[in-house]
Amino acid sequence: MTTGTIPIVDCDVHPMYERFEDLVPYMSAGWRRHFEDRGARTYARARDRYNHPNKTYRVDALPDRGGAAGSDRDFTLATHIQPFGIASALLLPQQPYGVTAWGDSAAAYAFLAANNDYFRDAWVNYDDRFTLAVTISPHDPAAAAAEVRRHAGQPGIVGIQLLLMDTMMGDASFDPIYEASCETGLPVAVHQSGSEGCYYTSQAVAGGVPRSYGERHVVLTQVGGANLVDMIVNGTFERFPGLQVVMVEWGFSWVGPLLSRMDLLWERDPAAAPLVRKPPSQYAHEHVTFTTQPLDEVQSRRERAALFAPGGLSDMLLFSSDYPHYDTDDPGFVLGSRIPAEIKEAVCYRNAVRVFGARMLRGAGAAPAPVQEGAPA
Amino acid sequence: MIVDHDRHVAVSDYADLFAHMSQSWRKHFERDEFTGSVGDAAAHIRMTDRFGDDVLEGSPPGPDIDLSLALPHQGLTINGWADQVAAKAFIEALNSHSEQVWADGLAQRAAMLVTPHDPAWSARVIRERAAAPQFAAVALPLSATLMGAELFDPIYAAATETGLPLVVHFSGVEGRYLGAPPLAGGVHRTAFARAALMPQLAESQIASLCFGGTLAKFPGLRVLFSGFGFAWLPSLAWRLDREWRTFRHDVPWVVRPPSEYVFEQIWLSTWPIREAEADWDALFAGHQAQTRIVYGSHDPIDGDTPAAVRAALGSSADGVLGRNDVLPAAMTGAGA
Repeated sequence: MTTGTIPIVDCDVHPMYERFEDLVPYMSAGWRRHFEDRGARTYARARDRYNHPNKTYRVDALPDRGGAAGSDRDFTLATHIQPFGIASALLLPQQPYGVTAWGDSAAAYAFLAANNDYFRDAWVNYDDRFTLAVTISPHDPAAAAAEVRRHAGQPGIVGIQLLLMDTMMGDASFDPIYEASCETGLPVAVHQSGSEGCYYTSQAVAGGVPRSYGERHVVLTQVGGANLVDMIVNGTFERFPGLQVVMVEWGFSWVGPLLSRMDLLWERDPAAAPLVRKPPSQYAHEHVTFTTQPLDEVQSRRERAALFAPGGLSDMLLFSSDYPHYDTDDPGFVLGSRIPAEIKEAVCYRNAVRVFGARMLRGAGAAPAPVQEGAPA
Repeated sequence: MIVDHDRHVAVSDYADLFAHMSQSWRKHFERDEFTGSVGDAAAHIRMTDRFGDDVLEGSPPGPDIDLSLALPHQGLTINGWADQVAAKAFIEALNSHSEQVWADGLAQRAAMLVTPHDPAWSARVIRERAAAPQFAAVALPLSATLMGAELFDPIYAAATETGLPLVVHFSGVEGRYLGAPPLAGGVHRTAFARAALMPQLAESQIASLCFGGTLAKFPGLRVLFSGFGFAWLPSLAWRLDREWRTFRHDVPWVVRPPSEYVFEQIWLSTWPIREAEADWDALFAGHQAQTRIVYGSHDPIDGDTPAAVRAALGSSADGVLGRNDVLPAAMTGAGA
């Protein structure tokens, strides 16, 4: 099922390189030897700590010709993009998530740069329905900003995928990255990496150590909330009025209550947050969007109405599937029967075009009128 | 009957507790830096970072309050202490003070303090003190171990056996002092951010109590999360059920959707009531989540009066103000 005439922008699709050799053309001989000797860890979660009870990917996303789910661009096009009529997919490569568990900053950047080059050449330049967020990590903010600028302006490069380690996004060490983001008009997308709650070098959920994968996943949303609060409280959006942040796969049903609470606390004692110059929710509405997957499984029409009730939410949501992961939201099901009709256009593509710019729909035949890139909502 | 489930009490001078201590513990605590720290703990929300706040001892409840649950919040701050042995002498002294001063066993009852750092000792305290009419609940400070851990089972067994609910309230040092529970993300440097994110601490405890099987194992266990707000409950319930449906084979001891346990065994108190003003009707009115919300003034710290609750919740307010199924029925006159 497709949405007919409404273009669908899927803001969370994970491609993978098939084998490490794919990256070799994009790195020096020295780094090639380094990785051939030591390997390159491409997953972030500590699998001996939180083992996934099943598979992390959909079994039906395994390519016919072999290889990992997400590693075959033709298979992704044929089984996900084409059938659902997806006009544009934001590619968020997942193998780079592994660098959040690396200590070696230089190695991390050699690996990230090779990934960015590979996915640009092999995927984005292959089909104009693919768009890419350039992946950077907090290991070295100056290197991160340089990597962003290196890719800016190329066709199909629409955003930045910022990986998180132990430092939250409101910290001033991120400022060079935000500066590059605003200068290039590439919004910052933040996706969970899997390292959350695993290491001293990662961020964690509140309260302690959840016992199982599922329990951890219930509260993993909190890390997204913590970073949202951190950016607002530390004045990030005051320093970067053009900054757009896309929170990917952190859920959104917690956003309304959190923003109400922040507004209430700020009204009562604005001096407690001296860098906050207006109601905290305004910063979120102007600068932050959230992807829909994993959509909370509300059980009734009444609960569905409650899920989408908080004011302003319709302008803050971007459709996402998380293909090819185990908890992929089926575009037909979600868009067909879960997203309220009155906000479907906004969620399907209008909000995405507002945040990422008209280039987000470069693959669609009849793209809507372009909007000013990088402009705040 | 209106029950105030969240009324804070404190001593203005730690020396008031010495009468309830052995001579050796009294000598231990008779030191300037300890007695001088009474304001830190009494100010309750260390989140303000304004050390040296006036001690808020508490105020008499308003005329429309029929029963108050007094929470000696200074006792909660042991979750930031280094000496967890001394902490037991301290909270037992507070319990004795509650029995003699803060609770009359009629309209004023108290939450009995225990410690997560010694569950066997805590279970003994619960059984020894439960018969005193002054105590209507057990206050469990939060440690960095989530509440669903099996090591806390002796506390849950004793609470269930004696019919007392658990009350969980932050002490204010969470996310701040080493050893106390962390908040989500990294280290939050402002009191404002910690206050904004404090509800997540309750979310994690509830997820742990569900997925760890505690609520299934102790069907008579009742837990009130107080001071954490409540607007976040529907979101948490949806997420709990979604993850359970995906991973239920991984937690076979959770035999029903987790929200069903929550809607039977978990309560939240109303403070700060205005948190939900905008979306109350959509999120709570006519929904099961509404049955989990009980009145808590949070006096004397930024308290909400019953009138404030009525103003915020409109036609739903009477249901919330009249709900009193957390504390033992014999104390509230409520049906079981």
